[in-house]
Amino acid sequence: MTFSSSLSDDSSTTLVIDTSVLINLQGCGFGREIIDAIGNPFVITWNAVAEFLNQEGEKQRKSLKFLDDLNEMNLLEIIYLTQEEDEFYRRFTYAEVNLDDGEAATIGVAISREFLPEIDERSGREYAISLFPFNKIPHSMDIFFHRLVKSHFDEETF
Amino acid sequence: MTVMNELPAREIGRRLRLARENSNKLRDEVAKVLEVSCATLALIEQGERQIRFDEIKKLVGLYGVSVNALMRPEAVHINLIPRFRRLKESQSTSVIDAAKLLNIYVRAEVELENILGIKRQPRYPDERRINDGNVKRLAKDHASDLRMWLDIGLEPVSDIFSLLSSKMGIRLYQRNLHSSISGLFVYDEAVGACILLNAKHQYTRRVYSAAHELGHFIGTRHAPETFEKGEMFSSREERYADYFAQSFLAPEESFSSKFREITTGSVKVTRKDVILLADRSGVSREFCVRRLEELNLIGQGTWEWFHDNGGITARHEKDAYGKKHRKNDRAKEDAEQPISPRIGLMATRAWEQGLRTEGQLVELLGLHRLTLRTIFNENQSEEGAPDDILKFTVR
Repeated sequence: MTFSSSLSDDSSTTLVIDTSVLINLQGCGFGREIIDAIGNPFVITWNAVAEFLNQEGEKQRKSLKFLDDLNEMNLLEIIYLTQEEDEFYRRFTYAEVNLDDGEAATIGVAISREFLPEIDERSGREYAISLFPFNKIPHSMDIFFHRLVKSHFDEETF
Repeated sequence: MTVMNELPAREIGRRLRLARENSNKLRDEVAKVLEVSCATLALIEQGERQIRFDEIKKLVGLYGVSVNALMRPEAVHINLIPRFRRLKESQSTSVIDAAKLLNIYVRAEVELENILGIKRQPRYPDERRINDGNVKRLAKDHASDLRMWLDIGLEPVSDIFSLLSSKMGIRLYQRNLHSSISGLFVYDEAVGACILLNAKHQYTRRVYSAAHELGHFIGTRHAPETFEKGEMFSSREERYADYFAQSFLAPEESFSSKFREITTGSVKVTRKDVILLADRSGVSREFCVRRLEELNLIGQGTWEWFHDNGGITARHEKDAYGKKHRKNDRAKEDAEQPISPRIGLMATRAWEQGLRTEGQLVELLGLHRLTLRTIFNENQSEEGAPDDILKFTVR
């Protein structure tokens, strides 16, 4: 597979990831190593976490453990929306556009705190592009194929 | 991605009321969370008092829905569950669970049809009233009239499920329910007639349940209904639906003549006769024998006799046909899937076209994300996913 990550090497940028990205990090089995390899601060909104944990039984327990581990190792911080971000959240969930709660919160936080959003859904990325001064919103693949991730793992892993 | 305006306060109020009812929360409990009086909550639900966003956030947490699902304009907000709760005979959790499932399917199907531009054009026969007259006579006449309306005359009903869904446009779902439930019927002005059948039941039993629910649709459309195991047809409506199903599936004239044709020269009815007649009529063997008893074509208690003397088994079936006779039951296989194939396909198209996100569909369909991704993978069109993003499905 040939894919070139659009994520830069600037490790000071905080990446705010949406639900699907977190699911992919968990699903690939190397989420912890990938976040660690990239080295940027990773955050996720509580709204996206609520979507991530919206499961039952064993699946939910596994997801909670994955999240707790990332949190305890300071690899992923859960953040709550401020009043200003709440207004973005309101606008993006229904008042202006039709995004799901996780995406709306992710984009709201990215705008307000100048973080870089990581969103998989096309609709969310398209809307985010219209709000940010760059022409591409990174997604899961950009994380998986980040230069530092590739050098950390054997390329054949993917 | 849809660009939209905010909903009118009255519609927001209506949705909030439905969400509260759906989550089975009482007004005073909700008012307490909102820190308002019950009267203020009533005003909010009537659209007389604008709700603030911080209040919406409190309510979605309480009701277990997302802000987007509650507020996006195209979301279909109906709640069929309280109608079943009000039914005296359906207080069991299995009925309410089935009603919840029906509610999910109807909401999802209508919203997906709307956003994909699929126009459903139901062709409903007129509702017949059953207030006056002999209920058995009415059922027989109405079943006969419906057969004429459907242009099937006295022929056996070869596929009642297609008749309901394709020919009449009734929303029909066949899913695995608690064994005690045969079917549910509800009619709503906004979404039309909806029937949910228990796919766990044998094909011929579902045929009967479908005909029974069709009877409710014809005779008592505006009353929701549950059809449960061992139910005694005591009410006028239930007796009507039962007689209707009998007359619709096995009209006296054609059923009797087919019986005479099969049993020509015999002095008594055999298991082979029952097998052939039931299969040709598309009904169960028990239904077949009981209908013959009811029409006085065989002695009363014949079914019990068969039952007490070894029943009608696969061996008898093999004797009748010379081999094992197996009917293809696609709905039973489909019911093993997490969602009906049609809804799964529509969800995939909506996702591919960027009309709904994965998160929105997860909530709409009541599925886990990884399950939804599997559905996307199975239904993906040749054009592929909306983008090339890696989506893990299983771990």
